[in-house]
Amino acid sequence: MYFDSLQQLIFMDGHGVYVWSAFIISLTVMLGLVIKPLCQKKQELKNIQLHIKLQQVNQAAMQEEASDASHS
Amino acid sequence: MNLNVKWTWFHRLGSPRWFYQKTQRWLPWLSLLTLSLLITGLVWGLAFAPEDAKQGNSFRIIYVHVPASVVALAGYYMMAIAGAVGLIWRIKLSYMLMRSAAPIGAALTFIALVTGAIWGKPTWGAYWVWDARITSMLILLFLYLGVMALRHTYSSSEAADKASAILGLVGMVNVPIIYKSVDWWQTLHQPATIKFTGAPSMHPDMFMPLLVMIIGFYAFYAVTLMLFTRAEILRREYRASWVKQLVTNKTAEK
Repeated sequence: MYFDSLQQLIFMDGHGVYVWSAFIISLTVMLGLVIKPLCQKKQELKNIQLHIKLQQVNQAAMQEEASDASHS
Repeated sequence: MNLNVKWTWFHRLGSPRWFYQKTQRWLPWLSLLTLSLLITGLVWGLAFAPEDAKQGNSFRIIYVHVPASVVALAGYYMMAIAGAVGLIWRIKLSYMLMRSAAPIGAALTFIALVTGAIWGKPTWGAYWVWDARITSMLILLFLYLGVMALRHTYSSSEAADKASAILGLVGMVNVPIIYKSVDWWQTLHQPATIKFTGAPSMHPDMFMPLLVMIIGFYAFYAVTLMLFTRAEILRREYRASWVKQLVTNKTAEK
Protein backbone atom coordinates (compact mmCIF):
# COMPACT_ATOMS: atom_id res chain seq x y z
CA MET A 1 0.00 0.00 0.00
CA TYR A 2 1.13 3.55 -0.71
CA PHE A 3 -0.05 4.81 2.70
CA ASP A 4 1.55 3.82 6.00
CA SER A 5 -1.69 3.34 7.89
CA LEU A 6 -5.43 3.07 7.40
CA GLN A 7 -5.83 6.46 9.04
CA GLN A 8 -3.57 8.02 6.42
CA LEU A 9 -5.52 6.30 3.66
CA ILE A 10 -8.74 7.84 4.97
CA PHE A 11 -7.28 11.28 5.69
CA MET A 12 -5.05 11.52 2.56
CA ASP A 13 -3.19 14.61 3.81
CA GLY A 14 -6.37 16.64 3.99
CA HIS A 15 -7.66 15.58 0.58
CA GLY A 16 -9.57 12.58 1.93
CA VAL A 17 -12.85 14.49 2.15
CA TYR A 18 -12.72 15.32 -1.56
CA VAL A 19 -11.50 11.97 -2.76
CA TRP A 20 -13.84 9.82 -0.69
CA SER A 21 -16.92 11.96 -1.30
CA ALA A 22 -16.23 11.85 -5.07
CA PHE A 23 -15.98 8.05 -4.98
CA ILE A 24 -19.00 7.56 -2.73
CA ILE A 25 -21.23 9.79 -4.87
CA SER A 26 -20.08 8.02 -8.04
CA LEU A 27 -20.62 4.55 -6.66
CA THR A 28 -24.08 5.48 -5.36
CA VAL A 29 -25.12 6.77 -8.78
CA MET A 30 -23.71 3.62 -10.42
CA LEU A 31 -25.58 1.40 -7.99
CA GLY A 32 -28.74 3.28 -8.93
CA LEU A 33 -28.03 2.53 -12.60
CA VAL A 34 -28.12 -1.18 -11.80
CA ILE A 35 -31.11 -1.17 -9.44
CA LYS A 36 -33.39 1.04 -11.57
CA PRO A 37 -33.63 -1.24 -14.65
CA LEU A 38 -34.01 -4.32 -12.44
CA CYS A 39 -37.00 -2.72 -10.67
CA GLN A 40 -38.40 -1.63 -14.02
CA LYS A 41 -38.13 -5.16 -15.37
CA LYS A 42 -39.90 -6.56 -12.33
CA GLN A 43 -42.71 -4.03 -12.76
CA GLU A 44 -43.04 -4.81 -16.48
CA LEU A 45 -43.27 -8.53 -15.78
CA LYS A 46 -46.05 -7.83 -13.27
CA ASN A 47 -47.89 -5.67 -15.81
CA ILE A 48 -47.67 -8.37 -18.47
CA GLN A 49 -48.94 -10.96 -16.02
CA LEU A 50 -51.93 -8.74 -15.30
CA HIS A 51 -52.45 -8.19 -19.02
CA ILE A 52 -52.54 -11.95 -19.64
CA LYS A 53 -54.98 -12.50 -16.78
CA LEU A 54 -57.28 -9.75 -18.06
CA GLN A 55 -57.22 -11.30 -21.51
CA GLN A 56 -58.13 -14.69 -20.11
CA VAL A 57 -61.01 -13.24 -18.08
CA ASN A 58 -62.27 -11.34 -21.14
CA GLN A 59 -62.08 -14.42 -23.31
CA ALA A 60 -63.95 -16.51 -20.76
CA ALA A 61 -66.65 -13.85 -20.45
CA MET A 62 -67.01 -13.66 -24.22
CA GLN A 63 -67.33 -17.44 -24.52
CA GLU A 64 -69.96 -17.47 -21.79
CA GLU A 65 -71.88 -14.75 -23.57
CA ALA A 66 -71.72 -16.66 -26.82
CA SER A 67 -72.96 -19.87 -25.25
CA ASP A 68 -75.78 -17.96 -23.48
CA ALA A 69 -76.83 -16.45 -26.78
CA SER A 70 -76.92 -19.83 -28.51
CA HIS A 71 -79.01 -21.36 -25.68
CA SER A 72 -81.63 -18.64 -25.73
CA MET B 1 -30.80 -17.22 -51.85
CA ASN B 2 -27.28 -16.14 -51.08
CA LEU B 3 -28.56 -12.69 -50.21
CA ASN B 4 -30.95 -14.16 -47.65
CA VAL B 5 -28.17 -16.01 -45.90
CA LYS B 6 -26.06 -12.87 -45.72
CA TRP B 7 -28.78 -10.75 -44.15
CA THR B 8 -30.13 -13.13 -41.56
CA TRP B 9 -27.56 -12.04 -38.95
CA PHE B 10 -28.61 -8.44 -39.45
CA HIS B 11 -32.26 -9.25 -38.84
CA ARG B 12 -31.46 -11.45 -35.91
CA LEU B 13 -29.41 -8.64 -34.42
CA GLY B 14 -32.43 -6.39 -34.71
CA SER B 15 -34.74 -8.87 -33.02
CA PRO B 16 -35.68 -7.96 -29.44
CA ARG B 17 -36.27 -11.63 -28.67
CA TRP B 18 -32.77 -12.61 -29.79
CA PHE B 19 -31.29 -9.76 -27.72
CA TYR B 20 -33.30 -10.68 -24.63
CA GLN B 21 -32.30 -14.34 -24.75
CA LYS B 22 -28.63 -13.74 -25.55
CA THR B 23 -28.12 -11.09 -22.88
CA GLN B 24 -29.64 -13.43 -20.30
CA ARG B 25 -26.64 -15.69 -20.91
CA TRP B 26 -24.06 -12.89 -21.20
CA LEU B 27 -25.08 -10.84 -18.18
CA PRO B 28 -23.73 -13.02 -15.34
CA TRP B 29 -20.27 -13.24 -16.92
CA LEU B 30 -20.10 -9.64 -17.93
CA SER B 31 -21.26 -8.50 -14.48
CA LEU B 32 -18.58 -10.61 -12.84
CA LEU B 33 -15.93 -9.14 -15.15
CA THR B 34 -17.17 -5.60 -14.48
CA LEU B 35 -17.17 -6.06 -10.73
CA SER B 36 -13.66 -7.50 -10.65
CA LEU B 37 -12.29 -4.75 -12.93
CA LEU B 38 -13.89 -1.97 -10.88
CA ILE B 39 -12.78 -3.39 -7.53
CA THR B 40 -9.23 -3.92 -8.81
CA GLY B 41 -9.08 -0.42 -10.28
CA LEU B 42 -10.56 1.22 -7.18
CA VAL B 43 -8.26 -0.46 -4.68
CA TRP B 44 -5.24 0.08 -6.92
CA GLY B 45 -6.05 3.73 -7.60
CA LEU B 46 -7.07 4.66 -4.07
CA ALA B 47 -4.54 2.80 -1.98
CA PHE B 48 -1.58 1.73 -4.14
CA ALA B 49 -0.97 4.35 -6.83
CA PRO B 50 1.57 7.03 -5.84
CA GLU B 51 0.35 10.57 -5.18
CA ASP B 52 0.73 13.34 -7.74
CA ALA B 53 3.74 15.63 -7.27
CA LYS B 54 1.68 18.81 -7.80
CA GLN B 55 -1.85 17.91 -6.79
CA GLY B 56 -1.14 15.47 -3.97
CA ASN B 57 -3.81 12.91 -3.17
CA SER B 58 -6.72 14.84 -4.66
CA PHE B 59 -5.56 13.58 -8.07
CA ARG B 60 -6.99 10.16 -7.15
CA ILE B 61 -10.38 11.52 -8.21
CA ILE B 62 -9.08 10.94 -11.75
CA TYR B 63 -9.90 7.23 -11.31
CA VAL B 64 -13.64 7.94 -11.51
CA HIS B 65 -13.63 11.30 -13.24
CA VAL B 66 -11.82 10.29 -16.43
CA PRO B 67 -13.48 6.87 -16.95
CA ALA B 68 -16.95 8.39 -16.39
CA SER B 69 -16.22 11.23 -18.82
CA VAL B 70 -14.74 8.93 -21.49
CA VAL B 71 -17.68 6.53 -21.39
CA ALA B 72 -20.24 9.37 -21.20
CA LEU B 73 -18.82 10.72 -24.48
CA ALA B 74 -18.53 7.31 -26.16
CA GLY B 75 -22.05 6.55 -24.94
CA TYR B 76 -23.31 9.62 -26.73
CA TYR B 77 -22.00 8.31 -30.05
CA MET B 78 -23.58 4.95 -29.25
CA MET B 79 -26.95 6.61 -28.58
CA ALA B 80 -26.81 8.83 -31.68
CA ILE B 81 -25.79 5.96 -33.96
CA ALA B 82 -28.53 3.73 -32.52
CA GLY B 83 -31.01 6.53 -33.24
CA ALA B 84 -29.70 6.91 -36.80
CA VAL B 85 -30.00 3.15 -37.42
CA GLY B 86 -33.57 3.36 -36.16
CA LEU B 87 -34.35 6.26 -38.48
CA ILE B 88 -32.81 4.62 -41.55
CA TRP B 89 -33.73 0.94 -41.20
CA ARG B 90 -36.66 1.25 -38.76
CA ILE B 91 -35.19 -1.41 -36.53
CA LYS B 92 -37.17 -1.58 -33.29
CA LEU B 93 -34.29 -2.74 -31.15
CA SER B 94 -32.09 0.21 -32.09
CA TYR B 95 -34.67 2.67 -30.77
CA MET B 96 -34.85 0.65 -27.56
CA LEU B 97 -31.06 0.85 -27.27
CA MET B 98 -31.19 4.60 -27.86
CA ARG B 99 -33.81 5.03 -25.14
CA SER B 100 -31.77 2.93 -22.72
CA ALA B 101 -28.51 4.73 -23.47
CA ALA B 102 -29.91 8.14 -22.49
CA PRO B 103 -30.30 7.69 -18.69
CA ILE B 104 -26.97 5.86 -18.43
CA GLY B 105 -25.19 8.62 -20.34
CA ALA B 106 -26.88 11.28 -18.25
CA ALA B 107 -25.82 9.56 -15.02
CA LEU B 108 -22.22 9.19 -16.20
CA THR B 109 -22.07 12.83 -17.31
CA PHE B 110 -23.45 13.79 -13.91
CA ILE B 111 -20.68 11.76 -12.23
CA ALA B 112 -18.07 13.46 -14.45
CA LEU B 113 -19.39 16.92 -13.55
CA VAL B 114 -19.76 16.29 -9.82
CA THR B 115 -16.38 14.61 -9.37
CA GLY B 116 -14.82 17.37 -11.49
CA ALA B 117 -16.37 19.99 -9.24
CA ILE B 118 -15.11 18.21 -6.11
CA TRP B 119 -11.66 17.92 -7.67
CA GLY B 120 -11.75 21.59 -8.64
CA LYS B 121 -12.02 22.80 -5.05
CA PRO B 122 -8.58 21.69 -3.79
CA THR B 123 -6.93 22.19 -7.21
CA TRP B 124 -8.35 25.45 -8.55
CA GLY B 125 -9.95 26.78 -5.38
CA ALA B 126 -13.44 26.73 -6.90
CA TYR B 127 -16.13 24.09 -7.38
CA TRP B 128 -17.33 25.53 -10.64
CA VAL B 129 -15.87 27.71 -13.37
CA TRP B 130 -17.55 28.49 -16.68
CA ASP B 131 -14.70 27.15 -18.71
CA ALA B 132 -15.04 25.60 -22.19
CA ARG B 133 -14.62 21.95 -21.18
CA ILE B 134 -16.98 22.13 -18.23
CA THR B 135 -19.64 24.14 -20.03
CA SER B 136 -19.62 21.81 -23.06
CA MET B 137 -19.91 18.85 -20.67
CA LEU B 138 -22.93 20.52 -19.06
CA ILE B 139 -24.48 20.84 -22.53
CA LEU B 140 -23.91 17.10 -22.98
CA LEU B 141 -25.91 16.48 -19.80
CA PHE B 142 -28.75 18.63 -21.15
CA LEU B 143 -28.68 16.76 -24.47
CA TYR B 144 -29.02 13.44 -22.65
CA LEU B 145 -31.83 14.86 -20.50
CA GLY B 146 -33.49 16.23 -23.65
CA VAL B 147 -33.51 12.80 -25.28
CA MET B 148 -35.00 11.37 -22.08
CA ALA B 149 -37.66 14.09 -21.83
CA LEU B 150 -38.75 13.87 -25.47
CA ARG B 151 -40.21 10.44 -24.77
CA HIS B 152 -43.04 11.98 -22.78
CA THR B 153 -43.86 14.84 -25.15
CA TYR B 154 -45.48 12.72 -27.87
CA SER B 155 -48.49 10.48 -27.53
CA SER B 156 -47.11 8.02 -30.09
CA SER B 157 -43.85 6.35 -29.18
CA GLU B 158 -42.83 6.21 -32.84
CA ALA B 159 -42.92 10.01 -33.18
CA ALA B 160 -41.08 10.36 -29.86
CA ASP B 161 -38.39 7.93 -31.04
CA LYS B 162 -37.88 9.85 -34.27
CA ALA B 163 -37.66 13.21 -32.49
CA SER B 164 -35.20 11.81 -29.92
CA ALA B 165 -33.05 10.31 -32.67
CA ILE B 166 -32.91 13.63 -34.51
CA LEU B 167 -32.03 15.53 -31.34
CA GLY B 168 -29.32 12.94 -30.64
CA LEU B 169 -27.83 13.35 -34.11
CA VAL B 170 -27.89 17.15 -34.01
CA GLY B 171 -26.27 17.10 -30.56
CA MET B 172 -23.38 15.03 -31.91
CA VAL B 173 -21.78 18.34 -32.96
CA ASN B 174 -21.06 18.91 -29.29
CA VAL B 175 -18.91 15.80 -28.81
CA PRO B 176 -15.84 16.85 -30.85
CA ILE B 177 -16.16 20.30 -29.26
CA ILE B 178 -15.82 18.69 -25.82
CA TYR B 179 -12.79 16.67 -26.94
CA LYS B 180 -11.06 19.65 -28.48
CA SER B 181 -12.17 22.29 -25.96
CA VAL B 182 -8.94 22.05 -23.95
CA ASP B 183 -6.88 22.71 -27.10
CA TRP B 184 -9.06 25.34 -28.77
CA TRP B 185 -9.67 27.59 -25.78
CA GLN B 186 -7.58 28.81 -22.89
CA THR B 187 -9.10 26.73 -20.13
CA LEU B 188 -8.46 25.99 -16.51
CA HIS B 189 -9.09 22.31 -17.21
CA GLN B 190 -5.88 20.36 -17.71
CA PRO B 191 -5.17 18.91 -21.20
CA ALA B 192 -6.03 15.32 -21.99
CA THR B 193 -4.09 12.72 -20.02
CA ILE B 194 -4.59 10.01 -22.61
CA LYS B 195 -4.41 10.60 -26.35
CA PHE B 196 -4.94 8.26 -29.26
CA THR B 197 -1.71 9.58 -30.73
CA GLY B 198 1.32 9.34 -28.51
CA ALA B 199 2.03 8.02 -25.03
CA PRO B 200 -0.02 9.04 -21.98
CA SER B 201 1.35 11.95 -19.95
CA MET B 202 1.36 9.85 -16.81
CA HIS B 203 3.69 7.49 -15.01
CA PRO B 204 2.77 3.81 -15.62
CA ASP B 205 2.19 3.33 -11.86
CA MET B 206 -0.59 5.89 -12.08
CA PHE B 207 -1.73 5.03 -15.58
CA MET B 208 -2.30 1.28 -15.18
CA PRO B 209 -5.09 1.57 -12.58
CA LEU B 210 -6.68 4.28 -14.74
CA LEU B 211 -6.67 1.93 -17.71
CA VAL B 212 -8.28 -0.80 -15.59
CA MET B 213 -10.96 1.64 -14.46
CA ILE B 214 -11.68 2.80 -18.03
CA ILE B 215 -12.12 -0.79 -19.23
CA GLY B 216 -14.22 -1.45 -16.11
CA PHE B 217 -16.47 1.53 -16.90
CA TYR B 218 -16.95 0.32 -20.49
CA ALA B 219 -17.93 -3.10 -19.16
CA PHE B 220 -20.25 -1.43 -16.64
CA TYR B 221 -21.81 0.54 -19.49
CA ALA B 222 -22.44 -2.67 -21.43
CA VAL B 223 -24.07 -4.32 -18.38
CA THR B 224 -26.38 -1.40 -17.60
CA LEU B 225 -27.26 -0.93 -21.29
CA MET B 226 -28.33 -4.57 -21.41
CA LEU B 227 -30.35 -4.24 -18.19
CA PHE B 228 -32.17 -1.09 -19.32
CA THR B 229 -32.80 -2.49 -22.81
CA ARG B 230 -34.25 -5.72 -21.41
CA ALA B 231 -36.75 -3.73 -19.33
CA GLU B 232 -37.55 -1.60 -22.37
CA ILE B 233 -38.12 -4.70 -24.52
CA LEU B 234 -40.66 -6.03 -22.02
CA ARG B 235 -42.37 -2.64 -21.87
CA ARG B 236 -42.80 -2.39 -25.64
CA GLU B 237 -43.22 -6.04 -26.63
CA TYR B 238 -45.80 -7.09 -24.04
CA ARG B 239 -48.14 -8.22 -26.83
CA ALA B 240 -45.56 -10.54 -28.43
CA SER B 241 -46.24 -14.23 -27.98
CA TRP B 242 -42.68 -15.01 -26.82
CA VAL B 243 -42.99 -12.45 -24.01
CA LYS B 244 -46.28 -13.95 -22.89
CA GLN B 245 -44.73 -17.39 -23.02
CA LEU B 246 -41.84 -16.13 -20.91
CA VAL B 247 -44.16 -14.71 -18.25
CA THR B 248 -46.37 -17.80 -18.14
CA ASN B 249 -43.32 -20.02 -17.78
CA LYS B 250 -42.04 -17.82 -14.96
CA THR B 251 -45.33 -17.99 -13.07
CA ALA B 252 -45.46 -21.75 -13.61
CA GLU B 253 -41.97 -22.04 -12.09
CA LYS B 254 -43.17 -20.30 -8.94
